[in-house]
Amino acid sequence: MNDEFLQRIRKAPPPQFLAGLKARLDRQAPLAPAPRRRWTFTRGLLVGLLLGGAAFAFLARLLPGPQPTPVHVTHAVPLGPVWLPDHVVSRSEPAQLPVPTQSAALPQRPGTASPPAVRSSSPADPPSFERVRVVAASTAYPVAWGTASRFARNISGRAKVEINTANPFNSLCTSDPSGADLVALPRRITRWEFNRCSRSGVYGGLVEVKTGYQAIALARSPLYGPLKLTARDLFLALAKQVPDPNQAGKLIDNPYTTWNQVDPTLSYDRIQIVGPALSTPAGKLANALLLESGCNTFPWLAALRDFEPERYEQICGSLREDGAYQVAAPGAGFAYLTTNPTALGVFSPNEYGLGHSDLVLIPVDGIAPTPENVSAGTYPLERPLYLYMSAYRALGNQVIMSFIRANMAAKDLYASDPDGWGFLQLNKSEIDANLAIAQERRPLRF
Amino acid sequence: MDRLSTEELDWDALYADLAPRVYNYFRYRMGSQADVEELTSRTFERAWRSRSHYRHDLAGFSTWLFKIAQNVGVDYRARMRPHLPLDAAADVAGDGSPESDAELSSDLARLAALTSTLPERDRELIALKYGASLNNRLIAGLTGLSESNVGTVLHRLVRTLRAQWFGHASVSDE
Repeated sequence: MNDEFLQRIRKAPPPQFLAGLKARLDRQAPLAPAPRRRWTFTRGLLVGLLLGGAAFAFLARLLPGPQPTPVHVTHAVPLGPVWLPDHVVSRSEPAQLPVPTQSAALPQRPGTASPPAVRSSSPADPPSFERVRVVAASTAYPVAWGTASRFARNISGRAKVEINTANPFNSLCTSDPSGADLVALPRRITRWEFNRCSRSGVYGGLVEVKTGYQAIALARSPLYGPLKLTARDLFLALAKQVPDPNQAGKLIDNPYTTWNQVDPTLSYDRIQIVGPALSTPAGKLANALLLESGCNTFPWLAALRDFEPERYEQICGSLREDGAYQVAAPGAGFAYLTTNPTALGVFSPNEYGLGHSDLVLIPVDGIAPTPENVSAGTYPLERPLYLYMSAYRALGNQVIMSFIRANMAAKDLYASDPDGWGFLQLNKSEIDANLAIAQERRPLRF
Repeated sequence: MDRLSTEELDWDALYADLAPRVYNYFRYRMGSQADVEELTSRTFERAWRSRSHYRHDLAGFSTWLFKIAQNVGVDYRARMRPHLPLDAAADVAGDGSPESDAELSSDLARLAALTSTLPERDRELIALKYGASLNNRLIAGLTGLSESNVGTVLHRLVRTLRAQWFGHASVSDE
């Protein structure tokens, strides 16, 4: 087989690259002692105890014993975190959006740590359906909360929706009946999370349902026309620290003050962007979407997401604080842009659509924030929203299905709602496909 | 079973042998020079960090390393899907002359163009065979195909590519 034409494309790597990589590897920690196999005795003991327990249980069922007194069983109530009362949504409790402080677990309220009695549950014992417990990552929280509020009002008290932001995957990836029924995430789960979840006892598999998108749009006065920006330009213009152009792998405090310093083809205008307050859910969403896509265009920064997620979050999630990003009061952004024609404004795509045609939209990477581009996944300043559930917990649970439908059909509700800032609905074919996945409880496969 | 064998491996020799092969695997797989050094570095750093987990009884070291390289490549393509140009210019410093580098880049771009319509599996086979210089048995272990199937598929692929490369002039199987 004559394959010389394929062989000859091979090329030796640059020696300086090989030497540099080797030096970096040599600087890594020396080989740690290989973990030895241990616990042989302990494993044997555990297996013995399990077998013994199973045999004992089997015999106990066969032998006659005193008949148990009928006991009124409390209906299963999936337990929320101890701060639950603040976050239970029902008709009697008007929804108020508590802004989650962080995506991490919220502090426990003292004196409320003991959960009420809960019926023991097993895989053969279907969960109760009176409540739907939704755990949302912090930036997916406003949309989930807004949907939950309306949903709870619309179902006439047949169900309650509990929602919080504590440890999304720990709540879902468990066989514990008090775990979450649904987890709302502003991204797909990673393979690592999926594997961990699969190992942790999600009965029947994990079901993934896409429910919509979050996106932001950039616009400015039509006086100078749209700016030709890339996601990388935005990151370089707005991140607190940026890669040093003179030294690979090093970060420096953001030195850029005008757009043409970021990219010489851009105009000599001051970098100035106005948007929602960063302490609000809308501001957190804008912060994440303005930086993340551009940050990922640097492979060595993108790689940190796998190896050093905290550092990745710090670099790719920190907006500069020297005035390049300015907070606009709700509704004041349009007026500011009119009087400052070189400034850019951050808007929700649905907010922009509410009659503010006196601004020009700014495409990013040449792509405009249209619903078609967002659903195609090509617009850089967007991300999909997903709900995850255990196929077992969703078995026959019409409340969960209704809640999923409510998430997908939220377009009109969100058009002028601060909870839905940045929310874009799926298109019809996506809705049909994802409803089918949810209805059939089709397990996710990687 | 035998993790201690990692301590007996000659890491310097393995690096000298495998680094150029991983480097070329990514060149063939990506169809360009773009980010090849980055991906090669990432593969070795990930492997080095977890090399105490390498088990000699489960796979050869090169199989283990190329599995990591495959995962690094998959992650990279998933993350960069709209951005990676197949015909990116050669911006990685080479050790050859500018003329030979240009010729190699030209051939690489040509190969990328020819393989761009192939299924992922076939592109992976080409990269493992000619970029990484792995034998069919190792490729079978990495791709889940049988060894004979790898040989058959590669034979057909090379025949097709050769016909396209030389403009249908020499299609024989010599």
